[in-house]
Amino acid sequence: MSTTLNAAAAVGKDPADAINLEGLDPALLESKPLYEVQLDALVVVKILKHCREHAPVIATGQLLGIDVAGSLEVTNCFPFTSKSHDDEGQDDMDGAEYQLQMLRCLRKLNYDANTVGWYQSTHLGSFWNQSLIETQYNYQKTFAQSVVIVYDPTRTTQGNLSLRALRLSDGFMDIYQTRKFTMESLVANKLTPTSIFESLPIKIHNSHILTALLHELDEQISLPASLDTVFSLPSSTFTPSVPTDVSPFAPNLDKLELGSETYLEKHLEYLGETVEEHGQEQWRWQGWQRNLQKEQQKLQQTIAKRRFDNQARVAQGLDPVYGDDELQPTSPALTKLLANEPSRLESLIITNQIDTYCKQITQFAGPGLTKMFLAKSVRPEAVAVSQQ
Amino acid sequence: MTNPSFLHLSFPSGSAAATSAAPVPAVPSFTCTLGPVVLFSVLDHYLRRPESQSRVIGALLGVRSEDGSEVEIRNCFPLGVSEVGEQQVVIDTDHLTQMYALHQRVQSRETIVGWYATGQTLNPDSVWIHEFFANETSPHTPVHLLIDASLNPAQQIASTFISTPVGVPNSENMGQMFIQVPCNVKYSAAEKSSLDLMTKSNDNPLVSDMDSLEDTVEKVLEMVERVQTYVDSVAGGKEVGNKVLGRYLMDMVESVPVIEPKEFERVFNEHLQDMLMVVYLANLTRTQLAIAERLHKMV
Repeated sequence: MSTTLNAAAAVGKDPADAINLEGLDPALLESKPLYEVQLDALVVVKILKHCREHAPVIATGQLLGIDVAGSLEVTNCFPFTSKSHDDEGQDDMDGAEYQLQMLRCLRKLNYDANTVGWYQSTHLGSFWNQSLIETQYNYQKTFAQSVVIVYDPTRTTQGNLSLRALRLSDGFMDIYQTRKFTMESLVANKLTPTSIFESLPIKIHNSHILTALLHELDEQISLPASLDTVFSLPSSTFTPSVPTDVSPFAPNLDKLELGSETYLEKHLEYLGETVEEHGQEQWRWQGWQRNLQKEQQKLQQTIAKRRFDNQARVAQGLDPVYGDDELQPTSPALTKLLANEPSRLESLIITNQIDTYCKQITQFAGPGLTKMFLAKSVRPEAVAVSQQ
Repeated sequence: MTNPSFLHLSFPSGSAAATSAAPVPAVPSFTCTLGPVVLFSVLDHYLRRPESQSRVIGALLGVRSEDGSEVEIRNCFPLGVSEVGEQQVVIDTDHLTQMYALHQRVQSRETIVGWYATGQTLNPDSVWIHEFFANETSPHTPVHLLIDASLNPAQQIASTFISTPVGVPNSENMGQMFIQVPCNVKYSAAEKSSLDLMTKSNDNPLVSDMDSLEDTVEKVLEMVERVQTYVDSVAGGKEVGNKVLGRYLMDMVESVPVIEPKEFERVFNEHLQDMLMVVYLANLTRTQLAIAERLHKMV
């Protein structure tokens, strides 16, 4: 008996060459506009793990999978290297090389190696920024059917998984290509802050074997071998709160957490900052608008004066001083000003950010209020007081 | 050799060098914790194996405590392996080193701590693979995670083993023995939030905070009712009460903090006002934004 530890040959042939597509429903092979994102449970836990370990730094990674008739199936993912690593200067290969190698390794073992987007962690939904849009634009340019999954660890610890799947809308893609975010182009393309991104519904998919595993794990936790072994500790040392790693998956009692101050406080703090940014952005644009108006007025006055001069000359029977081209309402100063309209992109992004914060606050407040009244109703003495 | 057992003595032809490297670990205190991501990945890998392959193996990544007695298995990656015939295992070592290097770039704290395989029992080849991984994890002993992919309810889903040398010291016939060590699955708060959702059914969409709260409240109510029926039947003499359970329930009831009703009322109202104020503010901001947007278009 001997063990052969063989160094395998270099990367195998491209398996895509060998795939036989015959016998498949042709409708499945067509690219249709995406209507939903289906995440494998494995992808969800991988994202969770990566983002948790890198908190509070924002973590990003690549999603792998395939789109089937409008449903984007994400079956695997891998983390990107973080930036701090590159600073250390120990790595001899860059991020692109890392991704390529990773894809090659996964493909060798029958994993999907087809890029369908990327994921990013965020803190309290503060993910709206230029770099997100830039990255997603590049992804959608290269892989038309790609999405970005935004995961919010802070909101998830409140008890409900917080994931969002976003895509840039086609209209926005067109404008972003030209990088012309003037008021005029926004109005012409009917682009509003809400129509930059389209949000797709997310479904979580488990393989059957995984569903079986989860139920088995759940059962092992909720049905301990014998009651006595669990409860046999003396009463004095018994801690009433059940340790988290032995309570069953459902119901998740984290959801009943009453403390809301810090969460709301942070939200308000962020909201305040963003509103301020929005104000500044608005101020800049208004300043430009005022300059524009001033310039236009000046120009109109000059033209009116020239017309008057011309009329006076004509009345005296002389030739007009100014030609037609000198009476046009344009001037080099005005065209320069028009070309320098501040980009509206930043303001669009900030508006979206404010909107996200506000929505999150209202989304949080609903269950929050419910929980408060729930707590009140289980206190008979409190109810008695309020009824008096 | 087809009859599986936990004890494997190495044959004279086998290399004895690898066995002497690992120091004897303090077996009784050795514990493993396991992240759900490992279980999920192994099952996924199992589903993706080639038709001819009956089991899959891969490397485990994780963190060891300083004295080496605790191992937290945090991640894993699959390995290509072909078990040619009865007693030959071919591990793709290039793939191992490459994947390890890639993982190191992302999470440098996680090192190789062992290996996993699917199956119900240890297999004769396990000894050889284990010896191979001992080189990777030296000076510590590697951990072997055995996952029962058939999900037989009578068996543990995940069991962990470490090896310890057995036989006459310094003789040629030193062997390795697998010892099972306790293993816990550890869930983080975020993972619990998502597992709750995943267990519900297959292909479930994400739910809103409100709906998930409703679900939870309903389940808690159900639990309270169950306890109530039990207590009632014991109090009514229909059932013999369990003392341990009774004491547990007593502790539970006592853990509810006592707050003066007036104090509670005050705190409650304060919170209510805070909350409503914040909601009002948020709605106001949104309205303002909408107005600003309209005005802009008119300019």
